[in-house]
Amino acid sequence: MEELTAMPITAGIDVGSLSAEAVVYSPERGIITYSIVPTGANSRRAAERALSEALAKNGNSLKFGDLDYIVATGYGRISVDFANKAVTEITCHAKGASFLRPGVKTVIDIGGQDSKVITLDGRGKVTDFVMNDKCAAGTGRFLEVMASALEVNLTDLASLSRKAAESVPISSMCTVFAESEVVSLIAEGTPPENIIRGLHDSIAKRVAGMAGRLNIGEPFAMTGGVAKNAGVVDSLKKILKADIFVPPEPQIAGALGAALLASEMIQ
Amino acid sequence: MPNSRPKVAWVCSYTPEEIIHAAGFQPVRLLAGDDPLINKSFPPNFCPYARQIAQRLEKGLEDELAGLVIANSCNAMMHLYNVARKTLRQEKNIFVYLLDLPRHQGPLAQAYFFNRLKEMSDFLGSQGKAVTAEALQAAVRLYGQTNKLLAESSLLPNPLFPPLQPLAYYDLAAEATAAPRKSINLSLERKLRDNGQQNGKEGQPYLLLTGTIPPRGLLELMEESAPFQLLQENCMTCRYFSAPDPAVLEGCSTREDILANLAASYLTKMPCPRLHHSARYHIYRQLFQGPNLKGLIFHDFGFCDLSHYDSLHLRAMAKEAGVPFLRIKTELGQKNLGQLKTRLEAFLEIIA
Ligand SMILES: Nc1ncnc2c1ncn2[C@@H]1O[C@H](COP(=O)(O)OP(=O)(O)O)[C@@H](O)[C@H]1O
Repeated sequence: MEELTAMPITAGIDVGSLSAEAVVYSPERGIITYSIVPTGANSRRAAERALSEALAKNGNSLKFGDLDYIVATGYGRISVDFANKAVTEITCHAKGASFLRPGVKTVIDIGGQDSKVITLDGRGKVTDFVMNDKCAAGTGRFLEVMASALEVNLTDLASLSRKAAESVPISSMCTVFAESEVVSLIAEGTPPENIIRGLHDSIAKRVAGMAGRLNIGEPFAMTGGVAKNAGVVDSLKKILKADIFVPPEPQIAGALGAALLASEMIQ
Repeated sequence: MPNSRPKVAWVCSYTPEEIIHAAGFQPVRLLAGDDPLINKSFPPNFCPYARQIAQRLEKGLEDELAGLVIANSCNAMMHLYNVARKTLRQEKNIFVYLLDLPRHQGPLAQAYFFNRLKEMSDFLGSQGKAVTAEALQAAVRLYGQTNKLLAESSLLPNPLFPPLQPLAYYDLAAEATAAPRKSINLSLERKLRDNGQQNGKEGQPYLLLTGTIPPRGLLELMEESAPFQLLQENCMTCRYFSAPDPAVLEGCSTREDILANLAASYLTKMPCPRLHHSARYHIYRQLFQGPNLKGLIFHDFGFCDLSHYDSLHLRAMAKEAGVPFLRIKTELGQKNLGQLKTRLEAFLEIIA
């Protein structure tokens, strides 16, 4: 019996601006369970919900009390008072991405309200990073606003942009101006798919510009909710002239990294 | 009645407060407030410090001043001078004086600066009391006393290692440039006596913060999260607290002697990126070679060309020396430092 409990079970919780994720992990079993829930207004409650949902998905065979160590990350990390430690999402995304894609040298993480480019030493340790300034340009939130202006679903952006005959350049990066630019393009009768391609390209351009301030190298990986949008990934591949690894569930990379760090911290 | 001296404001640490004091005024430093910036006199892509000050002048927040001395340290200051001439001199009859600064060190620069200080003394004398040798001597003693106190209580002679914590040091600079100096010296004396020799533990890891004047909130964040002692090199710390030691008065009997010594001493103080690059970078090269510097953090408030070039140069130097480098941008008046916290903590996680 002793041996079964010898391996620590840890959890990582990533409280982002739009979504909160929890990952439960142990070195022998890998990712045991995970969840993604909307953040809502209360960071602490979102963290709690994410964790209990992850545990429930696993049939509640593990309880909160079975978790040996919890690391919180994301912009709401400080509010997660039941976590043992808080670590920034930069360190956690790097850790998570290099678990999912060993040897990764550059991680692009685009979430709801910020985008980051992180360089790694190839063994999961951050060497440098850049983060966008506080405005929403080039983030998931930007795409949400544009999708609603175009009256299309967020999840359809990728397939629509793949149908585009051309990319319509969007000159404004500011969300407010870009939105009115999009509205007038629609009014002029520009095919929505061409506008969407243009939006994806403009995000990719901005992120590539950020990446240019670092010493980036392959292999690349992309994490965060926007990695689920294959249209943005396409644009990024084109502009970076490189392949980009996207994990099956890119949104949980931060929480996974937190769980992995928790596992290291307890050993 | 030192409290009732009329106030004369200044904006650059190369302005000798001693001369302002000797002319019967109380020197006060104009620090940027944290009002949200509007764009009346300057466009948004302009030095935010100059914009903050211009805004304060326009709002009439500095109307109790008798005058303002602007050192011509960069283009933004020149533009600020033009705005101040209109809002203070023309509209309110508050004097505005432009102090020209050399860009170099050396005998010619000193001679040049000496002449500028003579002109400034004459001008301030005409607005207040004549700047005499005695008045200058008293002022040099008064202002030099602050630095002497700091230097004597520091365990290290290096001005980067003050005997105060970063926030206390910052607050001292803010207070020292607003209140009568005599009371500052007294309270500093008390503080240092109570604390003993504190900061500046040699042989221990430290982080260095440089760049433009940080918002107080940034220092709070750093004190909160930094696992190492934090040293600063900027216009609120060692570049400011480097007024001449009263010892420079020895052998000085005339006003000219004292002004020449002041000129020399200001030009050889802890240099700012605007002057004598090589001297400052030499200090950095030495710091980079030491084993205890764990990281260099450069604070930038945007739209300052000088600090931009400085950050590029320091980044290249840091890179070569293998010292982690972080550049953080804040806007003056910015209240939400949440994202800054993430940047700072991620940097600390890298170097941990
Ligand atoms: N299925 C999806 N298809 C396309 N985009 C998505 C999808 N799911 C999430 N996103 C994008 O991801 C963003 C949220 O990313 P996320 O990493 O969860 O942000 P945060 O960490 O700030 O909460 C959304 O704004 C949206 O643009």
